[in-house]
Amino acid sequence: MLSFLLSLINKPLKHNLVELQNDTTSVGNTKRLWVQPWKYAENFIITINLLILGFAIEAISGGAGINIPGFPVNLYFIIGLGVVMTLVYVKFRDKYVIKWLSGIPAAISVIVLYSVMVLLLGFIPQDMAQPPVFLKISGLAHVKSSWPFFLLQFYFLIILGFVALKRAIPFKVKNIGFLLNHFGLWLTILAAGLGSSDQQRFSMNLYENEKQSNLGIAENNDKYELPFSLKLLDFNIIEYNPKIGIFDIGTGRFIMGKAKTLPFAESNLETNLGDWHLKVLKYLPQAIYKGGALVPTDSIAGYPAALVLAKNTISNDTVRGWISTGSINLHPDYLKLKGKEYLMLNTPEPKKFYSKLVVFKGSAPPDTIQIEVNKPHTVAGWTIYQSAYNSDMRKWSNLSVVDVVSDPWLPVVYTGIFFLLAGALYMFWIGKDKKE
Amino acid sequence: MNWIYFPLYALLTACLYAIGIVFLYVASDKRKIFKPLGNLSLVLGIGALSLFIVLLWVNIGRPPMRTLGETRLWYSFFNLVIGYIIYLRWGYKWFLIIILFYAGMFLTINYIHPEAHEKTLMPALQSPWFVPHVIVYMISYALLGVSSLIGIYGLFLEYRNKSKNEIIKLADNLVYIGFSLLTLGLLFGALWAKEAWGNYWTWDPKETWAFLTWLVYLIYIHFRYFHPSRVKTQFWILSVIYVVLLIAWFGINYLPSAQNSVHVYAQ
Repeated sequence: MLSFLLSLINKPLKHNLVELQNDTTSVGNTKRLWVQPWKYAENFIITINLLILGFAIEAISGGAGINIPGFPVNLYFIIGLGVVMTLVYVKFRDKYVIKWLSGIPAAISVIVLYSVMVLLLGFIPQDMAQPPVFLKISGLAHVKSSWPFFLLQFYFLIILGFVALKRAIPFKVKNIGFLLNHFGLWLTILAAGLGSSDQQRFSMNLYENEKQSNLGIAENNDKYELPFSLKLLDFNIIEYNPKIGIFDIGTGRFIMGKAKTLPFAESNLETNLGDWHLKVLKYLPQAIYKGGALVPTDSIAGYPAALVLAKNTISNDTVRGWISTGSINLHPDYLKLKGKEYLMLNTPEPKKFYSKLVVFKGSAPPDTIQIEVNKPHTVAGWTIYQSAYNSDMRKWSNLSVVDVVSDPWLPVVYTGIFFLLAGALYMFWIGKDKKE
Repeated sequence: MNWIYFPLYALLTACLYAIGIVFLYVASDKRKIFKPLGNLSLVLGIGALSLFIVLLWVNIGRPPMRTLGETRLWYSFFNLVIGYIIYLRWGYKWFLIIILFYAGMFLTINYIHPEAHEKTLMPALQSPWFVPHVIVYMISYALLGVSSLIGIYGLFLEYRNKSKNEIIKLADNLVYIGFSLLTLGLLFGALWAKEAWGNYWTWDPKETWAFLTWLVYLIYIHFRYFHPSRVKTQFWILSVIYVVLLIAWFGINYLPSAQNSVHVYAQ
């Protein structure tokens, strides 16, 4: 396969000997192209041709991109690549082709062009609904799944693999940092790239007081039956205290304090906003109207309210009264201070939201779990993430959206990442190796 | 402590750092006392800014790492620290002056553009990964920023035909430590993203540019390693690639491809 690839990119060029002046890509003395050892000029030509080949395949396929095969083909491919590269290395290590592929001009040319592709990926909006025709046909509207990017990444992995093998055989302890970095990157990119096709991700809309569901919704809205069911027992939001502020309906803005922020409402808060000195006389995190007055409550229907004394620092006028955030059913309570200035409590922001779920799987006894953002839970190879809720209904949302993700290649990717982390720590500690 | 006191602390820091530098220049065999005084003043200058950061952290009740201005605060702080360490290790007094101006520039931007330092922290940021992720990145950015200053200084020396071998070795140390922290920051981010969203890598514009930053420093390291004598080119690369880092840090806020990024800083 490798030799096929080599012949593919070499053949048309071999007849094309050109005298190259010392241009920017060529480091070192002027020499004839394709005289070994190959330097930067030859390597950039090879890598650019590989990219052109990728763009050609992409254009011929009408900008369809590449579909990475899933299990077990990707597994065979990874093992096969590792074995073939090792055998090729052991057998041909003294041949020029290995010296070339594990040499620095090859590495730099591929990293530079890889960077260029990532740069395009970073500049061109990706996965637009209606990309311009040129971007679609060239694959630039979906760089990460395009043929040129795939071929380049493959070539990158071949070079990286041989570079790692060169230091791995024979093994020397002093090469440990080098190997952690290079083999770690090789494994991470390979497993993350080829494993992505086995990643499954669905979203589930769970409502309180509804029966269990195993219905996953894919990104393209396809429905999928999951091997387990979830039932939402309880969805809860803990909110920050609401911020207190003076809203000017003339300007449509809040009057800000010196720190450009509004303070949280809390008992005994004293603060100055604009021309007003505010004092919170009483703060109720959960209040409800009873007999025409706001009183504390434990009911789920409660919402934050505050009794406030506002004193104008110029005119000494005072205004005293209740303000509240209101709920989804009830309007907030404002307090008119003067002219177009109204004292009010803002809608509180969520501090934490979490779901209590029951997991049903096969004949196993149901399992009760709790998930929140940054605290997912894994059940039988599927990780359940708290994703969203009905934000219009605030803390009264009875909907909890969870994402369920299966990523069987994760242990392999994490092994690669672990090597890279260890390599980074080694590099941090040792710094630059002495050149041999 | 809130942001109102920032100008006071920033000015105090800049003055103490400047006085420290003056003392170090004044110090001689006859005036030995100025050397410890200079060191003391530099440490106090750094101390004043760290005190501000600690008090701000306590006041807002969350790590001050959410807004761009807050990251600039850390960036200035680490620059001043790195400048001092370089002075201690290599004895470059002139370098303290460059660092003071450079860090001072970022403190000044924060003074001109005060931001709202909300006390709220969205649930996605409430994670044990938050602080290590931002801290290693900020130290790395500061180290690599300093390495690009050295690159520019190296070019300056180059055109005056002065020796620059010592300078490029200093840059090596900074780049190697900075790059290893850049790697840690990137990987911490990936591990955190998996924990928060279930994906360790989504090619979000911020991720893409962070990866690109990592790649360009990778190019530099390989070029430097294999062409140790091409120092002038290395200085050029060092000076230029920092732009990629700056785009990853805050430039992406202005890119069309980044309008839907989950990583744009809170304003």
